[in-house]
Amino acid sequence: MVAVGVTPSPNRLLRLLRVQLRQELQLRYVGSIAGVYWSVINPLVQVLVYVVLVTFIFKAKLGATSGGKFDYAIFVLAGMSPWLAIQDGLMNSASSLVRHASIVKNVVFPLELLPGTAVVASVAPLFVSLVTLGCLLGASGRSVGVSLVTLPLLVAVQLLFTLGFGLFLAILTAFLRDLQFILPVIFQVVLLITPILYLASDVPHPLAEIMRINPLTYIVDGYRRVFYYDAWPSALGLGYATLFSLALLAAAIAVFRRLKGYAEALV
Amino acid sequence: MTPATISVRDVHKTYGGLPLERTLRRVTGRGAASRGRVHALRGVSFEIGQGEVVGIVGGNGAGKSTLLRIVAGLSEPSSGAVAVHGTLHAVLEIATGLVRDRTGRENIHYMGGLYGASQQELHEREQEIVDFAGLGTFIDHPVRSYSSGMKSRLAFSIVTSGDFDVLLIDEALSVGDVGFALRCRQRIRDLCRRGATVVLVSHALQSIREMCDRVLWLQEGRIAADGDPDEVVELYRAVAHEEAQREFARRFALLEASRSASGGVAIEHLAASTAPGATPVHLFRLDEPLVIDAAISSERPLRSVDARLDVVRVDGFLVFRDEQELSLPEGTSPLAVSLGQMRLGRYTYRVRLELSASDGTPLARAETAFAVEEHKHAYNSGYYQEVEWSLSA
Repeated sequence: MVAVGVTPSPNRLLRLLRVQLRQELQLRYVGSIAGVYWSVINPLVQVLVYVVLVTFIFKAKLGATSGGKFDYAIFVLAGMSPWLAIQDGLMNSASSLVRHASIVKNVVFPLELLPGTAVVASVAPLFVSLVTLGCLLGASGRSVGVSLVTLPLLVAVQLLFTLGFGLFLAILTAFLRDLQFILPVIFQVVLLITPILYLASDVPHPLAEIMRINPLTYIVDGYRRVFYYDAWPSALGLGYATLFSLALLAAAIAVFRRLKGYAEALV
Repeated sequence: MTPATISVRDVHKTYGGLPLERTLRRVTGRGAASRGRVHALRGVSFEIGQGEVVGIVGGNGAGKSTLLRIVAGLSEPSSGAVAVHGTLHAVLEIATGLVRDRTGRENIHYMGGLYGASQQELHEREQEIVDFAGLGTFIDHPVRSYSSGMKSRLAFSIVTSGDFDVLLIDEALSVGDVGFALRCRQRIRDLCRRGATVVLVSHALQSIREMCDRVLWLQEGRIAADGDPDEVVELYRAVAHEEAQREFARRFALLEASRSASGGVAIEHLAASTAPGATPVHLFRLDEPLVIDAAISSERPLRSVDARLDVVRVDGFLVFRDEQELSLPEGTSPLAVSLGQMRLGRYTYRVRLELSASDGTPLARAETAFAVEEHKHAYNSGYYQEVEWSLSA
């Protein structure tokens, strides 16, 4: 049992989060030429490659597309936006303790805030993707309906999900540095088992079951319904994703608390 | 007694002992070299009351920094309990958490923020921190251009400003120049006048003695002494000196064993000491008398033997040489060369005594060595004016 100082008040936590967030964003995005766009340009190019490949080379048509010029691009980007942000948040929270070794070692500081900040900062690439998506929507003459009001809810669920995994990854990376290099591979696999590049209904039997229990499916589906189908996100799906994320977060916090006292010796 | 601000009960710390850590290490093969457990702390208990200034002394690896980290809540004890009442600030490593790419001024806001101050408080405090750090125009340059002394000045200034009840300092007083060290002390004195509790770890025994109300001496993860600063520091110093003494004696043994003798003359004994006939000393303190103590034996009486005594610094620099003509009686006679008070800097020195006949034929030769403890006024070389040779029949 260790009781050091008073437990930080929510007020103080928020203040610390702000200080750390400003620092993280400035360090990451100020000083490089394209700033925040870097973390988005790479994946966007990837999106472009898929779009070109599928629409112009395979000449495939998604069952759901009405045949508009940018339909498939919008379809992919709508699903890709949350995924890019989640990926960004997870990458940065995984490395957060190691990157901020001097804080971990020296500053009496609630360490949960380090991955926490990385997760909140992932809103920046999300914003860039959504702006790009908005431009595409405008160019193709499409519009977004009232279901846009559910966007904050979608973002909240997405951040909750990212935070749960982010805390896990942060503390595990302190023990196992290799995780930073394994992550991109895992991301590739996750991209495959989540209906981001294709329709969930096109998926054959064994993969469809995996997809059904994958909470990411419902987050991606939520974005797609709002930006592509002009429909309301599935309440059931989002409810499942929320519960999943909350359970994950509770477990992650327990593990993080248990292990964080040992991180200092490892980073 | 005032209620304890810091209470540490039977704290143990073992590195490499966590089951998950061990498993992961086994799986990854990482850290195979550090497979053994390291016991940094083996049952440490103490209580510190409000407003106390407590110093922690001990050799390298005694567990001082580990203890401070555990009190700070940065590291988990393997067993035992730690409780700290009130907000805590800690200056642990040089340049604690400063961001290299930002200016000193930006770091004030960033680090101050990490320690929980609001931006408004920091705006009010900024000038005071800048003045205390005393970095001049460097305060608006990126921290990466700072020297390590400047970084720790800035970090110390930021951390010790503001509101807190407990301050932990690890070796922060030994960095920075003399002027800054004085200001640090002044600040710590001000802090405890305000009622803050201060715990500091330092090897600067003199400052520990001057500043603390109480000193803990840690040895191999246990508290060896806890009490009055003068007594504990003296005790620690005495034990440390004795250990070093033994260590040097072991190192110099080989040198002392190599002697040469011919022509019936031999140097039976050669040692540095503090008085003629006293026990050999291998580690001197400043201002202790230096006496080279020897015993010379001769098979027959010998007139006019040239004796030469050299003291050579470890790098080969000759710090002292004196020659004397001796008349040796038959048998063994003690020789003492008194050099007055120790005036040598913190190095190891070789002492060489050579005896030769008046025609220059070497007769006997012996060597020994001694070391001088660290002290403030480091002389580069000795100069001894009152040298006195005495050979008793």
